[in-house]
Amino acid sequence: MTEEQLNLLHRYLDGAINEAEMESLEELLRNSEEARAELRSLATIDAKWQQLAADETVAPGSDRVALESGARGIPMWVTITAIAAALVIAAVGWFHEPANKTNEVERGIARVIRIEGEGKVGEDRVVVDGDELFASEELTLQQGLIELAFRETGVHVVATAPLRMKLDSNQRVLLHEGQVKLVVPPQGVGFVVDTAERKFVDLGTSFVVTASAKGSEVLVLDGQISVNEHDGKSKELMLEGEFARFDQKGKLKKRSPSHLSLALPELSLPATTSTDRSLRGVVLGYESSTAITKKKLAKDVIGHEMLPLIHSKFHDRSSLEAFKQGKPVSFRGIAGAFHEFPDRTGLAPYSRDGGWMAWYHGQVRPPRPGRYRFWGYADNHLLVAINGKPVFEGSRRDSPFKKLGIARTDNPALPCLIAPAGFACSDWIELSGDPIELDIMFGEVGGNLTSGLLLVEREGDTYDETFWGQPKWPVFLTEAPGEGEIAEFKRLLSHLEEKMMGSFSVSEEAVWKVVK
Amino acid sequence: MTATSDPQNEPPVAPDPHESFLRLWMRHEPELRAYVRACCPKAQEVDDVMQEVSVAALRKFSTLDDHTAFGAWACLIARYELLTARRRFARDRLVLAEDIVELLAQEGAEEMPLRQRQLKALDQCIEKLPRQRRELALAAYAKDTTIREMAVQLKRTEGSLYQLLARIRQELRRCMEQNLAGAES
Repeated sequence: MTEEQLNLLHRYLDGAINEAEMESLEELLRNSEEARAELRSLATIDAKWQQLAADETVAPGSDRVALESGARGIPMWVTITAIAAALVIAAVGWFHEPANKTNEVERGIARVIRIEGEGKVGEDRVVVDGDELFASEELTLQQGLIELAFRETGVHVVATAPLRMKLDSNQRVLLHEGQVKLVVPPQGVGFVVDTAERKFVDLGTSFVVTASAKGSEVLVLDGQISVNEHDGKSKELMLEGEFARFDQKGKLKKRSPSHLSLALPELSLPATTSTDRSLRGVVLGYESSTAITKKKLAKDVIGHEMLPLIHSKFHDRSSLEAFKQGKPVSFRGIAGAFHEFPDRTGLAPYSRDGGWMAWYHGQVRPPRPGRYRFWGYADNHLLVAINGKPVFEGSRRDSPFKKLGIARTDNPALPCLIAPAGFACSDWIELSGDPIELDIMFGEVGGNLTSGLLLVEREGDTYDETFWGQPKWPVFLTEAPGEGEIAEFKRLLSHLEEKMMGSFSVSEEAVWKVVK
Repeated sequence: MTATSDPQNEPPVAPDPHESFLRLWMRHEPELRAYVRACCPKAQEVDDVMQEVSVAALRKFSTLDDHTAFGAWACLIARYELLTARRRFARDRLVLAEDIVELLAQEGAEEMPLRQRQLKALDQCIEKLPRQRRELALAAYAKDTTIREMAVQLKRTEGSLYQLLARIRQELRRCMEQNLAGAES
């Protein structure tokens, strides 16, 4: 790091940074993993001083600098005091439990965001959208689904029929029958789904629990959970991608440790066959001999190298001269795994650590005039530009494409591959139906675990929805898929729907045909 | 007093959850404080955030079955509190953009073992600092002390004090690195 950059970090920690410096600092931190790590190390020193200064105030040294400051607080003990106060509140709270309950009854612990089908609480109370649900209530649903948000913890639950679930508290549900998918934000960590066989405790994650007369199952979509026996004798951590099934006696029947990304199907049809109707592209990577150091890799060289091209509205190709190119490719959609893509497109042998980037360009016509938006996500890079202007960025969190400042909404409640961000979504884009210049970039920062999904939605069109309420937007295509491709898309779809609770559709009506 | 009446020989009882919490909190507070500090532009804000984290963690503590995961669990709570605090502070002061706070927090959570090692190394490094420097830093980091007040009392400019503090920080950074490199080799 340069001296100037280090100074920015110091001025930030000193609380002396001004607006212009803050802008530079943000630019630096957004793009430099090294700077972020350095800031955290320097902040550790500050935290240590704070702690020592607090300890010193509690037991002042005999030879301190003589500073006539007023009575100083005790930072370290502020939190201890807070805990002590909270303990008192907790103790008082126990004595006043009825009053708390009254308050809880008035507000409920969870709210119904959406219900499809007839749900009931108790014997006769019919549940409708916007209803409050209260502690100790049991919810039943013969068909359809219900979406809930827990008020205090922000836990988001989608549960499907046949369902019988008791809302024990704002931290716990008891699932007798049905399937629930939870997205647990940090403030909800520790949320428990209890079944007859096991207790599933969230440790910052998204997971699905199914309970039936046969036993219970759990699939961890993201993060990790703790799976505990009710007698507390054993507890196990389960990580992203793991699935476990317990029979009605509580015996573990199956545990698969598969990695979701590795298990994701890859479309095997060659992407190198093109016709006049194809959106043409090129796959770029570094020669095997190009040394990619760990430091360079951390900086995502290939992603950065694309920025001049993007800034020039895809005219300035000078930065591409350094790359090795694979065979010319045609765009067959972005869906599923792309682990073998460099091999299938003739880029290999190449420097695997340096990553690869596919860039597609051409003139296409939207199927109909109207407002469109893109949905998707890629590990690592995904960018769509229309008439030279980037309109969608669905890359992983650390992609340099984020520098472009493209408006993006993340939807963590909707499943998409393994992304904690869920589906990323662009703003609406108004299109007249005239041909447009289209550029798509999709790639990998390094290694060979690549996945992506790019879908498109047209305003006003209706789409089937998944079990979990996600509209099945069509995969973005620029030519109609052949029979073989449709079969492969179906294979991918069944994997996504079964294993990841996500989905999409394949529609010829949604194809943006190539004009030239 | 007979052996059986000695409280130390009484059969073990289940630990009080509040006591367990306090023990875990005190053990992990230093690295949590360091974790929070990187995302707060002013040292004083760290106390506010830590206070919220401690209260939230205590309230949810009964749901944490695996106490060995306390550090990671508390980190997640801290991350949420950091983002909440950031939105609160953003109304009237300069704060880092939310995506950067997210990045710092996300990566910081993976560095907690490094934080512990750094804090341990710092004990020795601060010990090695010349006494005057150590005392100056302690005074500067004490709550309710402002650099402006210090500058007046020490008859120096604010800028020179900031520079001095940055130099001390940088010196400790180097020492910390050397200690860690030495420990690993």
